Amino acid sequence: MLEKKIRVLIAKPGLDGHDRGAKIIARALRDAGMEVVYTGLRQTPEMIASAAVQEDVDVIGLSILSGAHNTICPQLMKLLHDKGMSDVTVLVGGIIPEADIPALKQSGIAEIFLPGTSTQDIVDFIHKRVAHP
Amino acid sequence: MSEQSKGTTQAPAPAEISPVDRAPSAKEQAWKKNTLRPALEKSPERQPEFTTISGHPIRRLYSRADLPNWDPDRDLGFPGEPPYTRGIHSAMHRSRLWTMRQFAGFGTAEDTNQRFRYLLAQGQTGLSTAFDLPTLMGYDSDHALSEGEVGKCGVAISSLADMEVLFDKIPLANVTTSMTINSPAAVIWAMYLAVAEKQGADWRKISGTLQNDILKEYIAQKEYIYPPEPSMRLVIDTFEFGVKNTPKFNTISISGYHIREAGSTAIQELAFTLRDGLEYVEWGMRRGLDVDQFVPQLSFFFNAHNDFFEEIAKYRAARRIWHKTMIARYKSKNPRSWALRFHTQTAGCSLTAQQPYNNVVRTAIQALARSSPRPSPCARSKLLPTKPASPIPSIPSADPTSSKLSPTKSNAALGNISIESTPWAAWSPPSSAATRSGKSPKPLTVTRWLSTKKKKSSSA
Repeated sequence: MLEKKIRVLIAKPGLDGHDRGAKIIARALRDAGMEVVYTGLRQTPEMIASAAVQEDVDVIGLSILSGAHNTICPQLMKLLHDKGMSDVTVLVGGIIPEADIPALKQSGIAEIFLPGTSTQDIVDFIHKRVAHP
Repeated sequence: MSEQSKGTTQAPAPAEISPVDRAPSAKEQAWKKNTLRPALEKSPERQPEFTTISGHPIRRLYSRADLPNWDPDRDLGFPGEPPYTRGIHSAMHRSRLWTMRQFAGFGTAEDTNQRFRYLLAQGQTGLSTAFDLPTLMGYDSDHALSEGEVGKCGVAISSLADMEVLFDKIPLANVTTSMTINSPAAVIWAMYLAVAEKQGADWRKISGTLQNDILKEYIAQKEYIYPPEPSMRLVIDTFEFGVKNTPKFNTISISGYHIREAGSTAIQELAFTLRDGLEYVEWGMRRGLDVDQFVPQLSFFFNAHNDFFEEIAKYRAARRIWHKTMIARYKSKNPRSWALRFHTQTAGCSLTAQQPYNNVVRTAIQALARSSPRPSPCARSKLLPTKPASPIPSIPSADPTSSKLSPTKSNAALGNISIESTPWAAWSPPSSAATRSGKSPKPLTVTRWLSTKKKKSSSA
C-alpha cells in the first residue's frame, strides 16, 4: 500500500516578486518526499485559500518579504476558517519583524521561519506537525 | 578621433590558455619541480579544485605563460581610451569624486520628501528614489491588490499630485534623480518632468537615471505588467523622447544586478545584461533613431559580489565587449556610444541577518572591487539600505551577536553600497556629438508633447 504523502501549498502573496526563497523551500520539501504545489507570484488571500481547498493540502507555506504580512496573514486565516480548512497548518517565511510574530501566531499561523532557518528545520517541523497515520 | 579608431582594429586579446597549451618558462618549471612538488608532498592542497564564487577554476599560479604574446599597450590600453578596459575616464576619482546618494523611499510622499531634504541637507547632490510595490506594479494605493503594501519598501506614488509633494522644495534643475522604476517608468518619468516643468527647470539641462529595464524583469526581477513587445515599445518611446527633449537624462539603466541576485554567475550576469543592452540598441535603431544619438543615454547597472578579482574582470570585460560590439555590429562613430557607463550596487544576497558586522566587511570589499582598480566611469558611492525600514535608518545599538536584531533593522542599518556612473551631463562632453544633429528642437512642454503624440496617433 502506498504511503500518503504530505501535501504542501507554497504561496507567494502580495505584489513582491522575490521568489528565490519560496522556490528553495518548495524544492527542499519535495526532496523530503512531500507533494508540493507552488502558486507562482502575486496571489491574493482568496486565490491561496481556494488553491488550498482544490489541492486538499495539509500545509500552506507563505513567503512574504514586503512587509504586507500583517494584512495578508489574518485575511488568509479568516478565509480558511470560512472554507472549513482550519485544520491546515499555515507557515510563514521571510522578513518578519520579531515584534509582529506574537500577533501572527495569535491569528493562527503555526510557525514563522526567519532568515537563516535551515530547510531541515522546516521539514522536521512539518513532519512533527502533520503525522499521517 | 583617428587615434582612437585605431584602437578598434587591434588584434584580439589572447583567450585564456588551456593547461595543455600553456608553455611555462624554464624557471617556472624548475620552481614546480624543486619547490612546489616537495611542499605539496608535505602539505597537500586543502581541496582538489579552487574556483571563483561563480565556479570558474583558479590556477595555483599565474605567470607570463598565461598571457603569451601579450602587449599591454595593444591588449589592455589606457584609461579613457578605447577599448576602455581600464575605465572610460582617464583620471577617474583623482579628477572628480563620486556623488553620494542614499536610496530612499518609504511611507507617503510627504515622509519621503522629508527624507530627501534631510539627505540633501547632509551634502548629497543626487537623489535615488525607491517606490513601493503598488507603484512599481502600476496600481494606485487604493487598489485592492495594494492592500498591505502601500508605502512599504518604498514611497507610494499614485498621481502627479503625489509627485509634486515628493519633490516639493527640491530644485530639480540642480539635483539629479535616479528612479528605480520599470514597467510604469514612462508614466512616472512624465510625472517627474511635469514637476520639473512646473518648477521652471529646463528639460534639456536636467539629469538623472530611469531604471526602465523591462527585459531583466522577465529574466529575474519579475515586476512586469505587459507582455515583452508592448513593454519594449514603451521603453523605446522613452529613448525617443529623451533624445529629443532630455539629452542629459539616462533613459535606462540596463541591469545585471537583479539577474545576479536571482542566482546567476558573474559570466551569466554579464552575458544576459549585455545582450539586453544590444536588444535595446536594435529596437531603437528599428524605431529609426540614430544609434549615436540615443546610445550615449543608455547606462548599465552591475552587481558587486564577493569575489574581488572576478568582479573586476567582469567590469573590464563589460566595457571591452560593449566598445567592440558598438563599432563592429552597429557601426557607431560616436565615442560616447562606445563607452559603457555603469552603476554598481553591492550584493544584497551575500549579506546575512545573523552576522551584520560581517556584512560591513563584505560590502567594503565588494565596493572596493568596483572603485579601486582603474575602475569605471565615474562612480557614485552611496551607503544604501537594501530595504529601508524607516525613512531615516539608524545603526543598531544591539549587540551583533544578539538574535534580537530583527532582519529588517539589520538590512536597513547595514545595507549595501551603490556606486553609480555619473551621467554625461556631469562631465564636460568629449565631443559635440549630442548637438551634431544641428538644430535643437524647441523645448517641449508635457502638454505640447502629449498633443503631438495625439496628433501622430490620430494621423496614423
